[in-house]
Amino acid sequence: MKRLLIAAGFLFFITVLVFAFRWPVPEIALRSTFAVAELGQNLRGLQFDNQDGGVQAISDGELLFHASGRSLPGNFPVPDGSMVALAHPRDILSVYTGIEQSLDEQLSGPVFEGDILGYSKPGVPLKLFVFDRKAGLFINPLALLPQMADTRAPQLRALSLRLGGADIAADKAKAIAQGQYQLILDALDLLPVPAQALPFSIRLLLNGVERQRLVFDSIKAEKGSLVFPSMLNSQPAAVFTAEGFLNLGTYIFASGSTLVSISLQDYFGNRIERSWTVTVP
Amino acid sequence: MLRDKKPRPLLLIALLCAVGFIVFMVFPEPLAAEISMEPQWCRSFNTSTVDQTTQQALPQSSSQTKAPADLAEAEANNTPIGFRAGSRYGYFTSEGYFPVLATVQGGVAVADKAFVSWSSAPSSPRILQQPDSTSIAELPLGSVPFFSGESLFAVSADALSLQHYNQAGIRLWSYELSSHVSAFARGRTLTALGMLDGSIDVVDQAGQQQLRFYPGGSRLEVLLGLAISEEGDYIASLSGLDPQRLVVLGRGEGGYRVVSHRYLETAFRTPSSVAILPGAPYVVYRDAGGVGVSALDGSFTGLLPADVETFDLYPAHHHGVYYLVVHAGAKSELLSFRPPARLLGRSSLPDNTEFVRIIGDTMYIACPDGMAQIRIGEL
Repeated sequence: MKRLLIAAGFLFFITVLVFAFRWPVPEIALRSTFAVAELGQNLRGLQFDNQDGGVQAISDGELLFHASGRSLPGNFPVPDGSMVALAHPRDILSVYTGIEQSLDEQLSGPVFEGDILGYSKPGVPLKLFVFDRKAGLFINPLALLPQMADTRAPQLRALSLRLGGADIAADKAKAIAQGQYQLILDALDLLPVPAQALPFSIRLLLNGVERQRLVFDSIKAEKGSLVFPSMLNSQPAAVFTAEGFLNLGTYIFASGSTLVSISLQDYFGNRIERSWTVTVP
Repeated sequence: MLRDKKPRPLLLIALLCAVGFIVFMVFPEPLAAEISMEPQWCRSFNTSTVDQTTQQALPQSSSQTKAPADLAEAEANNTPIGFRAGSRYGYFTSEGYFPVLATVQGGVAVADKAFVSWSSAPSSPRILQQPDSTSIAELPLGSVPFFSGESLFAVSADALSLQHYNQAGIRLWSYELSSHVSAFARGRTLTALGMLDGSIDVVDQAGQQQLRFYPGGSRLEVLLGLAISEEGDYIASLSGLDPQRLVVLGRGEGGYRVVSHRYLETAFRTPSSVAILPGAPYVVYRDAGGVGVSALDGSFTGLLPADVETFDLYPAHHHGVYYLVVHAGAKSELLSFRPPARLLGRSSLPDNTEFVRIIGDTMYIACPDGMAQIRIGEL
C-alpha cells in the first residue's frame, strides 16, 4: 500500500513538474476549489464565476470532444449546457463545462495554450477539470496552475469527537468515556481570492503516530465509488459528513491520555499544527 | 476442309434476353416509394396564454380528425404523451388535447408517466410529479433529473455522479463516474456509459459495474456514441480519433467479447448517435455522408445517405420497416428504411424541430410555436 502511495505521489509530482498550465480565466474569478463539498458532492475540479469573459485553453493540446445543448443522445444531460475536452500530452485531459463555445468542426484539431475556447455564460458557473487518463483520476488543477501569492496558513476551526450523534469538542475532552470516537474536523484554507478551499493536506497523529493522512491532490472513482487515492487510512466510508466537515475516521480512546495532533498545509506550503490531550479517566 | 465457327449474335442476344426475363420475373425489386406525410392536426402553443402549469384541455380545431384505431397502446388508451419543445413542455393526447401545457422556468425532464420541473435557483426543489401534477417524491437539491425512456435518473451538477430512481422516486442506486460521460445508452436492465477517457462502463439494475471496457485502437481515446440492445446482448460503440472505430460487443457465457469492429473514415469530435435495431441484427451509426448500417457480426455494411449529426430510431408499425429522424444543426429529416440498408423514402421536417416522437406510423413534431400530428404513409 505504501509503495503504491509513494508511486502515486511520485507520478503526481512528475506531472506537476512537467506541465506548466495557465489559468483559463483570471484567478480572481475562482469560487470553489478541488474536493470542496457542495450539495453532497465533492468538486473534482475548479469552479469560477467568470461573468461573460473568454475561456482560454490551459495548455497546448488537441480538441477531443465538444458538446452543447441540453443532452447527449440517450438524454444524458450535458453539464451546464456545454462541455469541451482537450487532450494534452501524456494522457492528460482538460475539460471545461458551462461555456458558450466558439469551436466548430472546422476549428477542430490542434489547440494552443491561450486559445479562446468560448465565453462564460452569465449565471452559469464555469468549471475546469483536469483528468489523468493513464492513472484514471482527476488531478487538483491548483497544483498545476501558476501559484497565487499566499502567506496565510490554513484555518483549523474545530476538532470534535463524535459518539452516537453527540459531539465533544477536542479542547473539552478532558474526561470522556472510553469508546470508539469519530474524529470530525472543521478546517479550511484562505486563498487570496474569495473562494472556498480545503487545506491541501491534513495529517492526524495519535500519540505521535500518524493515523490518517489526506492529500487533496486527486480523486478517483472505482467501480462506482469515490476514492481519495492519497488517503493513508481508508477506513471512513465517507470522507465528508452530511454537514460538510471532514471525517478522519473512527479511533479507540482507551483509559489514559491520548495526544491528538492535527497538521494542515495549503497548496503554497503554509502550515499550521495543533494538539489536544484527550483523557479517559 | 474445316469451316470456321462464326459467332451467332442472334442466339446470344436471345439467351441474354431469356435470362433477363427470368431474373425480372423471379426476383422483382419494387421501386423505392416516397414517404407521404398527411397532417392530422396542428396546434399553436400560443392559442392560450400559459405561464404556469395548466390543467385545462385546449379547444379542438375544426381540422382535427380522430386518430386511427390501430395505433400503439399508448394511443389506444389515449394516455397523455410527454413532450418538451423549446421553452414549452407538457402532455398531449393523440386527439390534440393538451391536458398540461407549461413554460420551462429553469429545467424540466418529461416522460409519459411523470415529470420533474425546477427553477434556475440551485436550491429549487426537484419534485417528481405525475402528469396531473400530483407530487410523487423529491429528488436531491442541485441534481439534474432526466428520463431515458421511462427510467428516471439524476446526475450531480457536474454530471459526475449518477443516480437511478424507480417510478416512486426511491433511489435504486448511485454510481460515481470515473470520467465525464460523452455517450449514454439504456437497455431494459443495463445502463451503458461511454466516457471521455475512452472507457465503457456497464451498470446493472443493482448499480454494480458489470463491465469496464476500453475499445482502444485509436491515437486518441474517447467515446462518441453508444448503444445497447434491449436485453443487453449487444453493445455497439463509436469511439476514438485517428482512426475512429465502430466496435460491437456480444454477450456470451463468459461475458462480453468483441464480435466485430471496423475502422471508419470519419473524425467526429461531437456526440454521435449509434443504435441497434430492435428485431434485426444490425447497428446504425453516424457515418461520413449519412447513417451507416453494419451487421452486428460485421458481415454487411451499407449507407443511408443523409446529412446527420445525431438521430433517433423508431420501429415502424408494419414489420421490418424502421424510421430514422436525423438531425444536423437546425435541419431534421425523416428517413424510412428496411434493413439492412434499403431506403424506402425520405421527407424533410420543418427547421428547428425540437420534438419528434413516432408511435407506429404516427409522428408528432413540435417546433417552438406549436405541435402537429402527421400520418406517415407511402406514395
